[in-house]
Amino acid sequence: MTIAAILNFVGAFISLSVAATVASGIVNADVITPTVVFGGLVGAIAWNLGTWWFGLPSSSSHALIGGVIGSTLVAAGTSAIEGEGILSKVIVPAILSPILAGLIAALGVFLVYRIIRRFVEHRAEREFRWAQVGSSSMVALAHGTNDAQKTMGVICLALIANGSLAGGDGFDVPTWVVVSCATAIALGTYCGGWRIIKTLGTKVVEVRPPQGFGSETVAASVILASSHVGFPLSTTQVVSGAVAGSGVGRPGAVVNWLVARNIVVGWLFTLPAAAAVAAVVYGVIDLFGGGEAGVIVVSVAMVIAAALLWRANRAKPIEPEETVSANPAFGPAAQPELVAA
Amino acid sequence: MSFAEIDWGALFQAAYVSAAFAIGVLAVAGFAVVASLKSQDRRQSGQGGVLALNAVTAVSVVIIGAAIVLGIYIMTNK
Repeated sequence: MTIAAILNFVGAFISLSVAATVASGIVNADVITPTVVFGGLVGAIAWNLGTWWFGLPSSSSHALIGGVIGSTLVAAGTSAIEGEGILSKVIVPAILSPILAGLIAALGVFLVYRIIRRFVEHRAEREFRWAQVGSSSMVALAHGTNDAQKTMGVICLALIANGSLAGGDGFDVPTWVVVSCATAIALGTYCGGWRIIKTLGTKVVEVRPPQGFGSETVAASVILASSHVGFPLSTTQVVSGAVAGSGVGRPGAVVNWLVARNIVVGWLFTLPAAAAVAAVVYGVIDLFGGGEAGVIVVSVAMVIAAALLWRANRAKPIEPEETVSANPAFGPAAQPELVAA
Repeated sequence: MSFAEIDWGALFQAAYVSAAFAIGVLAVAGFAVVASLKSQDRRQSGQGGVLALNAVTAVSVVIIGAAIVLGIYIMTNK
């Protein structure tokens, strides 16, 4: 957790292409107000907390973008939405990235198992366990690079709305924004817990060390390459695609397509659901005159909801050892709905 | 809003760069593990070639490290 948190922090300083996309390519920054940004953030936070509680690896990125779109729609109408930017920079990469990660992971993991086939599997696994320290570190770095930038983009939107930052294509992200987002994502990673790791590490496919190394390497590569060209990808979707692909690539592995399907359904709902919540939040603030009173009411409601979830999580925590699969759970005999890869 | 507006060039670039990098790293890592295991076997059975196999492992690790550093350098110097 500590290494992941540090690398998330470092990753936030590597590139700013995604921040520029979020701040200038999703909605028309000229018609955005701080209340619109607030509504978008609350919509994203509410969706994220809900999916986190149920252990669903949904995309925070798409929740954030959906939230901003939802509150912008209610506040300024469809003309304020940059449809081309959303299609080109969000929707198409969102559909293609997990498929691409899955295909590359399937091929890569198959290749790895071909190379090590002459050795007893558990001997090679011991070596790959060490390699996983490096590959998981790369995922943490990639996560910091792509995900911290989305938050930077939203903060820049708020600053542009407030008149504190000039908009347009060539705007600069202030250093304090980069440092704050890097710190926030590092702290969030450090405090994140094991709930979603359990879903990905045990329920989609039984992940053995060569597979883990393969899926992590693929996920990091896809995220870093996409960050370079400015696509605000969902780390969650890419990692999930790579994990499922690694199950296809490993001879004899079994992928639980039922869980994978539930995750995909969660993805489909994320953007519209966060947009709907954000639209409602903006509507509630508008009911209170669109000023500080509405913002305070929504903030208090969110704090109470978050505190209740936190208390419930402490009462029913997920421990690190639960994130490792007990082998018998994976197998057609144990679960008939499982389909052999 | 149409598919003609999509930046297919950037999408294709992200796809082939990530595929080439990931497959390359996985293959090199696979060979490093095989070399390391062969080296252990030869050491135990008293056969020669241990040094060469260890060198293969070390070179593989250096190649992966260099690829990562190069990738980060390219990203930070866009």
